[in-house]
Amino acid sequence: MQTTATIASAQASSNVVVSAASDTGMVRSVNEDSYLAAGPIFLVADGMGGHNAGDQASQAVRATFGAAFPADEPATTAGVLAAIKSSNVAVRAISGDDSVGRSISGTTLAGVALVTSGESGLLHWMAFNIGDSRIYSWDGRSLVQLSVDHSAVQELVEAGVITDEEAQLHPDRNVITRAIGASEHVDADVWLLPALRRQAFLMCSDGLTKELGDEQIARILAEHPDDPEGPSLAEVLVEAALAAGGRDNVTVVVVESITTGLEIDADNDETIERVPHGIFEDTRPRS
Amino acid sequence: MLTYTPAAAGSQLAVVSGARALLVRMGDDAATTAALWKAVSTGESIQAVVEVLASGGLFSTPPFALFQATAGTPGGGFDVTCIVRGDIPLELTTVSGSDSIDASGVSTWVERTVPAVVAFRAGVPEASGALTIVGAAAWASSVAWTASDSDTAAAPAAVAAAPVSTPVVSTPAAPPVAPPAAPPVVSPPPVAAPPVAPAVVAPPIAEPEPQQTTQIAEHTIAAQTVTSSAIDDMIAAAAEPESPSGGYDSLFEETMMRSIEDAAVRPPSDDEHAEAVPAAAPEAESSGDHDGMTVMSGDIAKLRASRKNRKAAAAAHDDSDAPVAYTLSLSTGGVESLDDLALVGRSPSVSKVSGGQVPKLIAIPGDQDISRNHVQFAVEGGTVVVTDLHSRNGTTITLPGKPPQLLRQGESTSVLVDTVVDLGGGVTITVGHA
Repeated sequence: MQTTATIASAQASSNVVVSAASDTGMVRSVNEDSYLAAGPIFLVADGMGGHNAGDQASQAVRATFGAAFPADEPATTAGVLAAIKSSNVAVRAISGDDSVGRSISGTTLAGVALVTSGESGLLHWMAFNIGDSRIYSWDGRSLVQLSVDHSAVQELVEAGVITDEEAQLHPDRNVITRAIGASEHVDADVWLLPALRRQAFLMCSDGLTKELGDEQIARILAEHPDDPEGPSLAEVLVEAALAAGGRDNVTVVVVESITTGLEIDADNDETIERVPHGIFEDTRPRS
Repeated sequence: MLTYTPAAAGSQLAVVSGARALLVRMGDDAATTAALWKAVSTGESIQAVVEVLASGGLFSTPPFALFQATAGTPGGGFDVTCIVRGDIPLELTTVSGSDSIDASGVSTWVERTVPAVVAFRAGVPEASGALTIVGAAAWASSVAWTASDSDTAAAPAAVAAAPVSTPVVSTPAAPPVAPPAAPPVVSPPPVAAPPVAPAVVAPPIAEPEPQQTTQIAEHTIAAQTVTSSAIDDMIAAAAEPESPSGGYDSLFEETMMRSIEDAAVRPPSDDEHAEAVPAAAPEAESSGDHDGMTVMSGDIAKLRASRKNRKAAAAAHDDSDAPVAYTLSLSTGGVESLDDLALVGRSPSVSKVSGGQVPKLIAIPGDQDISRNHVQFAVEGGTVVVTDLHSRNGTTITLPGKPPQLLRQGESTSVLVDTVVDLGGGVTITVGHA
C-alpha cells in the first residue's frame, strides 16, 4: 500500500510518499505491531505483554496519535510530546494495577512527524523513539540508523562489554529498558532535523532488524524500482524479513518526502569562515 | 523527630521546621535569623535557605549544615538532601550503615542526596540532654533527627503557619523556656500567625541517639560528592573581580546551585550499567532463546521510574524559581519567546535529546557567516545563559554598558536583559523581558 500526501506550512510544502506493511510472521500467532502512516505522523509501535495486551497497547498508541493531529497539517513539537504522554496514560490504563514484570502491557514507539518549530513556522522532521523499534534515515545512497535502541544489549554495547555482532545473539537481546506504559513518566529520545529538499525515513519493528542486516535493508532500498503498480518498498522489506525467518511480527513504514519552498540551499550549505586567519599569524621558519 | 542540644547565645543557631533542619555558626543577628526562619519554615526549596546564607557573598558565608528529608525510600528510611559548608560535622545513619559528610576542605559547600536515611546529627553536642524540637530557631551545639512516621514526605508544610516574626530565643544560655508542667505543647498551628511561642518542648528524657553510635559499617553511599571540577568552576566564578554584590551576585548564585546539583544528583554511568545488567538477567533466562518475544524487565522499569520521580521533583523546584519569561528579538525581524531552551542557527537541528525538553529552533536562513547550529539560549534558574555551539565564526555578546566580548567556541556565559548577541553577518539577537 502506497499513499501520497501534501503537508504544507506557511512557507514550505512537503510531498510525502509513504508505504507501510505489517505481518504476523512465521512463528507468532498474534500481530502485536501497529503502525500509523497518515501525514503528518508516521510511526510503528511494537506491543508486548501477556493476555493479548500487547496488541491493545500498540493500537492504543496508534489511536492516540491518529486522533491528536489533523490530517495534512504540520504538527508541533509540543503536540507530539503531548501525544507521547497521553499514549503512556492510555497504555497504562490497559494493564491492571497489580500487573508487574511481563504481564505489564507496553509498547515501543518509533516515528517521525513533520512539525513546525517556533513562531517562524519553520518545517522540521521530528523523530521520536522509545524502545527497540528503529528509525533510519536514507539519502538514496546510505542508510543511517538515527535512533538508539533502549535495550539491555545496547547498554552493554555502549559499555564496551559486547560487540554489535554479539548483541544479535545475546540472550538478553529482547529486553528493553524503556517502553510506553512501563512507568508513570515516559521519556522519549527526540531529534529535530531541518526539512531538506529530499529526505527518506524508515521506521520498523525489531522483527525486521533481527532478520535483516543494515546492508541488506540498504540494498533493498537502493534496488527498489520506482513503480507505483508493483509492490511497495515496505511490502518488499516485510517479505524479505519473512523469507529470512520471520520469527517476530514485522512492521515497516517508509516515508519519502520532497519539500519545496525552503530557503536553505542544500547544494551550497557550508558555513564560510569570516576572517581568513593565519596569513599574519604564521611563524615563519628562520631559514 | 528532631532534637537539639542547647548552647550559649551567639555561637551556633539551629533553625528547625518539620523535616528540615539548619545548623549555622553565626552571631546574634535578628535580621538574618528572621530571614533564615522564613526560608526554612515556609516550605520553599532547600536552595532558598542556601541563598539566604550566601547572600553576603561566598567568603562571608558562615559554616552551616543543612538537612532535609524529602520522600520515603522504598525499603525504609528517607531520601535526604544535605548541604554542608565548613567544619560542622554531619553524621548520617542509613538503613545499611553510617556515613558522614565533611566539607572542611571544600571552599564552597558539599551537597549530597542520600537514600534510606534513618537518623542524622549535625554539630557536636556540648550538653548531654537533648531536647525535642518541632519548629524553632534556638542556640544549639547540635541538631539530630531520627526517622519516624510523622515525618512522612514533605513535613515542612506542617509548620508553615508558624510566625515569621522571629520566634528567636535570644536570651543567653541554654534550654529555651519549656512549660514545666505540661506534656509536649504541640499547638495545632493556627493559620493566623500567633504572636510568640516557638514550639519548643522538653521531653522527659531524650536519649542521645543510641542507634547512631552502635552502627558501625563501611557502607558506601550511592550519591556523589561535588566533583572537583565543579568546585573549580565555582571558585573561578567567585573570584570574578567585577561582580558587584547587587547585579551579578544572584546570577552567579543560581549557576552555582545548578552545577552542584548536576554533579551531586546524576548517578555515574557505570552504576547505570551495573543496575541494568544484573536486573535484566533473570527475565531473560525465563524468556528462553529465539522466541522472538520482546519482554520488558520490570525491575529496570522500577529503578528508572524512581530515578525519574526524583528528577521530576528537582525539576519542580526549578520551575518555581523561574517565573521570569524572556524574549529574543531578531535583527532580521520577529520576536521569539524564550521559555527554557532555544537554538539559533542558519539551519538548526536537535540530536537525541531526552527528558521531554525539546529546544525551540530559530532559523536565520541565508547568511553563511552563521553556522547551522550557532548559539543556544537557555533559561537556567531564572537567568539567560548563552552558549556558543562551536560555531565557525564565534559569537559576540555585549552586556549593557560593557564592551563587546567574544565567546570562544563552546563557551557559555549568563547574560542580562538588553544584552545584544551578535552572530556575525550583521545578525543580532537582543534578550528582552516578555
